[in-house]
Amino acid sequence: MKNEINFLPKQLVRQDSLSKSVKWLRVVALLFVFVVPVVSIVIFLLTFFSPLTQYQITEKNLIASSQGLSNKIAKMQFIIDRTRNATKFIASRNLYDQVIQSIYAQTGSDVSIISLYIKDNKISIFASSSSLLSLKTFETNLKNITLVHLTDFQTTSLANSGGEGNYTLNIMAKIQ
Amino acid sequence: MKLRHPYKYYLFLFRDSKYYLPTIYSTIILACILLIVFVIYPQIQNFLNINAQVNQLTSQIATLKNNINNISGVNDSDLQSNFDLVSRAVPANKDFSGAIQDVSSVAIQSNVILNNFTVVVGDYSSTSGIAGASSDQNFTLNINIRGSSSGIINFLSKLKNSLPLMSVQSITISQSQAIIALQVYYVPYHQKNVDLISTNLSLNPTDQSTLNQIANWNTNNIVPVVSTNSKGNLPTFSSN
Repeated sequence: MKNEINFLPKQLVRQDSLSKSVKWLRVVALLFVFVVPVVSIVIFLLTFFSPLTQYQITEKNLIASSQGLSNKIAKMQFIIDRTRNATKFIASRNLYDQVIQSIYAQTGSDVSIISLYIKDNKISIFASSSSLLSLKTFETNLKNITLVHLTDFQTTSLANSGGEGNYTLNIMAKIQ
Repeated sequence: MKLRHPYKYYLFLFRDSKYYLPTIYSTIILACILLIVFVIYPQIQNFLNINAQVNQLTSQIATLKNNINNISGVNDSDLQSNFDLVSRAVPANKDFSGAIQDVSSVAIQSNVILNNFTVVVGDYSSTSGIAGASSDQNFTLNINIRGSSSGIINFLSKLKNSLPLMSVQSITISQSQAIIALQVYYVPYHQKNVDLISTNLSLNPTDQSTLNQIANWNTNNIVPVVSTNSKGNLPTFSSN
């Protein structure tokens, strides 16, 4: 039914659409014909004039010139390696000297440390005093040390040893 | 009548046909597509590959030039001094005598008496030189010192700032006496090829700071002090 509406003969309609397609094909073909060789030539030129070979020669020359510095290079590498190791060691070291210094700084005139033991970041202090109050102050002060951080305090014993006026305190803590 | 060249007849026939131009154009397009696939695409790949190589080489050459400049710029005597310094700080083997000498020297400076010492020699079938072995190692030096509490604290502080590098593992202080277990570090020397192309042969700021720190610690030791510049820093290895 629809064909009857079209006044043009069928063949003419088909020819018209074919000529349109041919036009498009021609445009595309022309585009390809120009673009493909241009791209190819450009890429060839870029590849041909690439500085790769020149860089390779420069690198070879530099490597050759560095041969004379081999002794210095080896020493330098050694220094760098050792210094890196030293940095690592220094960073991982314990601060036990600061811990001990801080603890001794808390002992007043009345408190004396009988023994002190530190291992694996755990500390055990055995202190004595003639005054219970001084020992209590010492214990409190230990908890407030700022230079190093002591945690998990355990007062294992607070005893009156050796008669009246001689008290001992045993504290354990963790160093953080 | 028989045609002399029958294909010409078909050729003329085809030329007059409405499919002639579309066929020609299609053939051209197809040929171009084939060229793109089999010529241009490999060309592009090759170009990209070369470009990547050029970029890599540029970076390598820059590193290489930088390394050569750095190395050339370092004074021989400074290099040797730094070499001696780091060898002393982190020895390549179990330097018992160096460690004991250092401990006794620090003891004298801190006014404490070094009563006795024990070196835990450990396993002598060292892993030195074996690929994949732990690079950093240590041995234990047990010492017994006698002195006042301030003397012992001073000893520990000075020991921390002395060479070779040591760390206190455990300490027992009682009755003006301290039993200390020291861990002395050493790193076996592994011979390796230095790759100047990919490795930047210079100390980073942290390591440079460590080297300066070690040099300061070394002032009290036997090896001559490393010469420093006007700012008191060790000569740096970076060229810029």
